[in-house]
Amino acid sequence: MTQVVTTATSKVNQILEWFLIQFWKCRAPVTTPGSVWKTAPADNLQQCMNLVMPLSDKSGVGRAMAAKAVASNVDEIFTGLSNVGTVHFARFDLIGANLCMFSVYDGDFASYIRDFISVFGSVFDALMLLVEDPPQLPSELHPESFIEWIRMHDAFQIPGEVTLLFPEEPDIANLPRDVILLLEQNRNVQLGRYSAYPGLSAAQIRLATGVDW
Amino acid sequence: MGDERRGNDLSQQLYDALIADFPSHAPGTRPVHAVGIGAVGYFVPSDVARNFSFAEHFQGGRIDVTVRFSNSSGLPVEDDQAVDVRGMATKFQLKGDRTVDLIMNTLPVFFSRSPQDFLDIAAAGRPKPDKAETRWGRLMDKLQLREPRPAPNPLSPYSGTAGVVKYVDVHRFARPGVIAALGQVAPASYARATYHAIHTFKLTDTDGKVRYCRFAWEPVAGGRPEDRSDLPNDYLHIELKERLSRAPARFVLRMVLGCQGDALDDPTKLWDTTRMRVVMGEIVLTGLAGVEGAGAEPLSFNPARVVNGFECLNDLILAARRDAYEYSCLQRGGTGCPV
Repeated sequence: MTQVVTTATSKVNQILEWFLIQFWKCRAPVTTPGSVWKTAPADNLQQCMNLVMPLSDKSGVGRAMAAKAVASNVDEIFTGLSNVGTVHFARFDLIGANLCMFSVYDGDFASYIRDFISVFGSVFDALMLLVEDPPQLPSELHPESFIEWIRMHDAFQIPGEVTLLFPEEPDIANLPRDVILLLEQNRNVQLGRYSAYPGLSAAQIRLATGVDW
Repeated sequence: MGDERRGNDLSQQLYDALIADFPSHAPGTRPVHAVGIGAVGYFVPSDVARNFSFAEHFQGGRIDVTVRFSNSSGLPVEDDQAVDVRGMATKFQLKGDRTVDLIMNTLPVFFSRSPQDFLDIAAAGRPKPDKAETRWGRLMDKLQLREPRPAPNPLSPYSGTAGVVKYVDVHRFARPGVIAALGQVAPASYARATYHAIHTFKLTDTDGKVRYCRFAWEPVAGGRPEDRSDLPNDYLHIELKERLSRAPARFVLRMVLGCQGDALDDPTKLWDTTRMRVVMGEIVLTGLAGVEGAGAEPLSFNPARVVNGFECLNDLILAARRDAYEYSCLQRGGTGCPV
């Protein structure tokens, strides 16, 4: 009985919160901060890309097709990533009804995507047939729209303390609400990251460990 | 003489401002970080430390250390459960009775860029009676998707938090430090918290290459907040005594190398987590300092007590701390006051 009451209270709270969020979205909207231009060399190393691509067929059949498409192209993906040369790691995951590619790379985002279009764009083109609202294909012929599509599906990244994303908020008591509205706007978010070797490029690590030329 | 006089005046102003924030401050104790406990042990620099600095304590071999852990409050009553910044002041004993200090606390970033900022925020934070939020206030917070105000501390019915919050609404440079301070949690142990030196230091290697660096002590046992509320008010002292009677407590000295564009003389600015980190050594605390850990109480720790190869920058807050710590040491009759 207690559990039923607790569950009902929780549901009522969620409905109330939903209405409050809709109200405050109109009354005090927040803007998702854009990327900040940085000049330090370390800021161009070990960048994260968290690509979340909703599958068009969200059933087990669609998920199995995605798994098969990745598995059957492992050689192309590995060779491509090696040839890009600036990738620390990359992996494909199925999370819910999303095909995800998480990777850490050195350098500029657009350059990274251009590189992977040129070295394994055909694999990506095959994967794009399985996702919702795919970009124009083949990616090799439409690199700019492909890059923009990837940018739109890259999870928003919170660099550190989330409340510091709103330096213009005049009342810090409102910061919790700003965070709620920001997360309403951005369903997929990277909350933090750790690196055992910050400030080093993939090339420096390979060179220092003697596994590359 | 004039400069010295101004410096002294400023030190006294800073000291008085802190005392005013803690009206029940006990004479003969520090104006802040009044309650502390000392430990002794040694520091061993890493093999790579000497590549970054020719300072004596980074060259190799054991260096004896004395550490004082503390709560930042200036109240004479110990309240380890409180939302408070914790301090870890370390004194490295070099050859010939020379010492180097490294003063850190659990704030990764400070809230003042200059002594005047500090005086202003101290004035804004003068304690006032702290009342529990009304039901109406809590309802309004909920409707505005705000967080409810924390309940008043029963041990300290006065609080300056409301004034500080108003201050940071206007003085936005102070936000990172104040938000970090408001988010502090009581640690399970002084040996299970991470401590940061909020200033940037200049390190010089034997080739004359200069690097700008920040430091942190990271607990080898790992960070752990305390989630029990039924512990005695001095549980951190009790825990440290028990811990050191069983085994040493260890911290790694982690150094972060600054990059182009990083703030060097402004402790209100965080550095990005992408900066290169270097392990500079490990501290091993083997026992309490003196009887019941009271051996560090008279000592003067000063953030500007440095040595060649490990030096201060032109940081207004650091310069003011140097003088204010000296003044405070003289006021309480501490030892080793002149830097």
